Amino acid sequence: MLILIIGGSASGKSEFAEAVVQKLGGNRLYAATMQPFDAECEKRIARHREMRKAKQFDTWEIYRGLIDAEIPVGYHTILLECLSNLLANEMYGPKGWENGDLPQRILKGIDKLAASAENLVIVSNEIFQDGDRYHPETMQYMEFLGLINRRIAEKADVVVEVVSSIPIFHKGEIEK
Amino acid sequence: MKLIIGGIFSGKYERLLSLGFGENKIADGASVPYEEAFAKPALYKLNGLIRRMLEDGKDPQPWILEQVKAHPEITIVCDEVGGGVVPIDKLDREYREAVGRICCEIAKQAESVERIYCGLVTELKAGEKHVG
Repeated sequence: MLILIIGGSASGKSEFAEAVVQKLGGNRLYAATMQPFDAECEKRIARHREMRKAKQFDTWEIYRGLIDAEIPVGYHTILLECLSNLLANEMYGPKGWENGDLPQRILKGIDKLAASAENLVIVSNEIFQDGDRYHPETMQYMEFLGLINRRIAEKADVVVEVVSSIPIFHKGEIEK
Repeated sequence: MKLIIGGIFSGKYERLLSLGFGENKIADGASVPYEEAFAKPALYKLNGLIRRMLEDGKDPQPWILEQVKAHPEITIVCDEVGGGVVPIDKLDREYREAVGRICCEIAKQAESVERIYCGLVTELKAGEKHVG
């Protein structure tokens, strides 16, 4: 099963995603994309690590290059958190975004990830409801994330928007 | 008349294509000459048209609503742009205001209103044709 969970910042999407993974049962891998640059990142990472501790996740750090990565095998469910970090790390990483088809590269990496476990739960960000007056490079990032979100949504069994910790199901359902 | 709204990059253009509008059936509000904006079966990026009119010192609302009335079969697509903090720039404020108000008016007149989220359609207003 492929589940896409989208929400604004601090919407409760991570907690929701982790609850979904628990419901799915089995052993679980947390694919973490946030590269710790500063104290603010570290604080955020520490918060998420704390939340996961009780939920028995193994953690795999994957900041970029999913397509070429050696994905840990033998997991029932993988939680990828989050797509927006992965995209930013790719865009501003060594390979950049001007050469080759970055969205395609990421989507292929995600296909690979999906094929390596029973379930893949992907967390992504809602950044599309604040208008269009942004720097062109930011607009490029938004365009890529919008495209990747949509392509995953097409394939996904479930697409959920999380608002104030409440899920809104745009596609499919998760049994309670 | 049909209105399709959604955040930017939410898949509204792809929605038009899936509804059967070919690229030659779609006018792009960001670039189409004013007099041709409503000449095709679909108008994409109404907000782009509004933006250009404001930049040209025109009041977009009366003219656009008149055009919408004159083209009752048209499908109109617009970005939702009102979700952020009030912009510092005056024109940006006028733009957000105009896009929001014009969409409210169009939605009232439309037989159908859809919202696109991540490529997925939510029907906000359905189906009955206004008679008389």
